[in-house]
Amino acid sequence: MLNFEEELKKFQPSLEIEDVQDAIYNQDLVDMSDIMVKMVKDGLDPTKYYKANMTIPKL
Amino acid sequence: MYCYQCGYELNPAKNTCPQCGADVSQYKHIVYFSNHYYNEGLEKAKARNLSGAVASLRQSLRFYKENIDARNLLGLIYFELGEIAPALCEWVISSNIKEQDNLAADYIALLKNNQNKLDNINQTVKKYNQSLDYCDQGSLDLAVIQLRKALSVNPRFLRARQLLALLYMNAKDYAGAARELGKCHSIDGGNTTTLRYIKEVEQFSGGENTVTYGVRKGTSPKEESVTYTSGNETIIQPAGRGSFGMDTGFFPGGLIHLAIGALIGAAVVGFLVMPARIQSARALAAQQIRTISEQADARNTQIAEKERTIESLNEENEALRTQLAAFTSSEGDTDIEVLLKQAAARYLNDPSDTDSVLEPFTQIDPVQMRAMESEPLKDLYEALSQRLRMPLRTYYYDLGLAALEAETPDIDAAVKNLEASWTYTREGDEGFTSNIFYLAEAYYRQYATAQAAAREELTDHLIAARAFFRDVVNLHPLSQHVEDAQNRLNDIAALGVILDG
Repeated sequence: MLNFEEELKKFQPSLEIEDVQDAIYNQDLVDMSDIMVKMVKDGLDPTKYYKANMTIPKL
Repeated sequence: MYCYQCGYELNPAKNTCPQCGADVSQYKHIVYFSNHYYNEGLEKAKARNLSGAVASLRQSLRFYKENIDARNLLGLIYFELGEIAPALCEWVISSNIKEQDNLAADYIALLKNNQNKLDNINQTVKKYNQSLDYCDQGSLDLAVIQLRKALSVNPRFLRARQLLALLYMNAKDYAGAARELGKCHSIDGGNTTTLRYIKEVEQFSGGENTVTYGVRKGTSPKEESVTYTSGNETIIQPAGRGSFGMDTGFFPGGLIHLAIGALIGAAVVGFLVMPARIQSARALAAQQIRTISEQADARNTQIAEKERTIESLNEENEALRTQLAAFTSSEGDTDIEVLLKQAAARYLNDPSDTDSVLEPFTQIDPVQMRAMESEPLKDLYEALSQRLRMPLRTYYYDLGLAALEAETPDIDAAVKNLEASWTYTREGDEGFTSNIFYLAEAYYRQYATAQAAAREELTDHLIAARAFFRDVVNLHPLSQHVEDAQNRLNDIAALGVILDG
């Protein structure tokens, strides 16, 4: 049986057009490639931390 | 794919950059992972599993944020789910990463050319947020009204529809919930919230309300036919249609058949068609009554809110009167005090007559005001500034713009007034972009028209102008000032001035 109050809490307000600017400013755009580049620049060897060896072409 | 160190285009077969020799093997793996998740997201989107697609595409961007296809597709999916602002965020970021030959720019242009539709969809988001507030306050009926209005304009707004289904379930209206959940499932087949709610509805309605969302395949009817010969001709006709006419001797029987058919027809009309039409007319009337009732409810809500606003304004009015009464008499008052009391008295007399209030208020020098010793006077000034924020903003903006666009522009006056307007401006105000654009324009022209000796002192203004123009271009792509702002950025670059940052 669903609990109405608990389900209601899961619904969060949706972003409005006026909030787009703040949302873009607050986006965390650091990705894995940034971390890897930083590690290379700091002299760390990324291969020690990365063991998979997959090559998957883009469709 | 391009080298992360020098930006040179990489050879897919080699693991080092042909230009700088950097080891790009790990970098390529990260991009390939990103592509893998993009492929996965694309497959899910094609299968209408939009929630799954969003998760895969976000993962793709966590690996490589410059995966333009993934970002554009994510924006499209948000748009399909009725979430316009997140879609716009993704497309703006995408067009900033790659300016040329990018679908995101086309999508943004499409939105820009349909400002009305954009505003309508934004209103539906506001209604959804309003309905959440109503739910928190316990006004579930008002929440249902707001959600229905939102969904009539934006029927693919998934979250609003799910919330409406939840409210129906809470009110034990499982038929209504089943209807909404069926539509939710057709929008996004993989959404776990929808699937949980469907299970709940089917469990608690005892199987009476089954959620249908498939397409039933019909079977083509099998037609039987009769073949017979008449003379040299072979006649084929559908079964059950007998021929009748005077020459066949079936005339009396034909008439009887006609009469029976008429009776059957009358019976069908009387027992099937008319009740259905009456039922349909009743349903239409009931729908109209519901619509009018909803409108009446909404009006009542507005009236209640207005009454609360009136009560609050009356209290503020009383507080201001008390503050004013606490001051000493007019003998010994400075000019600033006279102006401030005049403004306050005019505001209390008629708060809507802002021109009359601004006339003395704008003559007060804010610097002198803040230097005064009397705290009650400073509090009164601040209180009036808050209440007159928008009129003051408009007043200084109009003055500044007039000075800037006059036949003989008064740039210093334009800067002074537009700066004053800026102090009263908040993000989200209507015309916010125009405020920052024209202030930047005034700063730029002040620098460009100054003598060489004076320019050094105006470098800060040029830096501010550049920052404002960049904001217009990058953060307000739908604004009418984008092109002019970009041209000014080019002009600033052409000045050849070294600006920090």
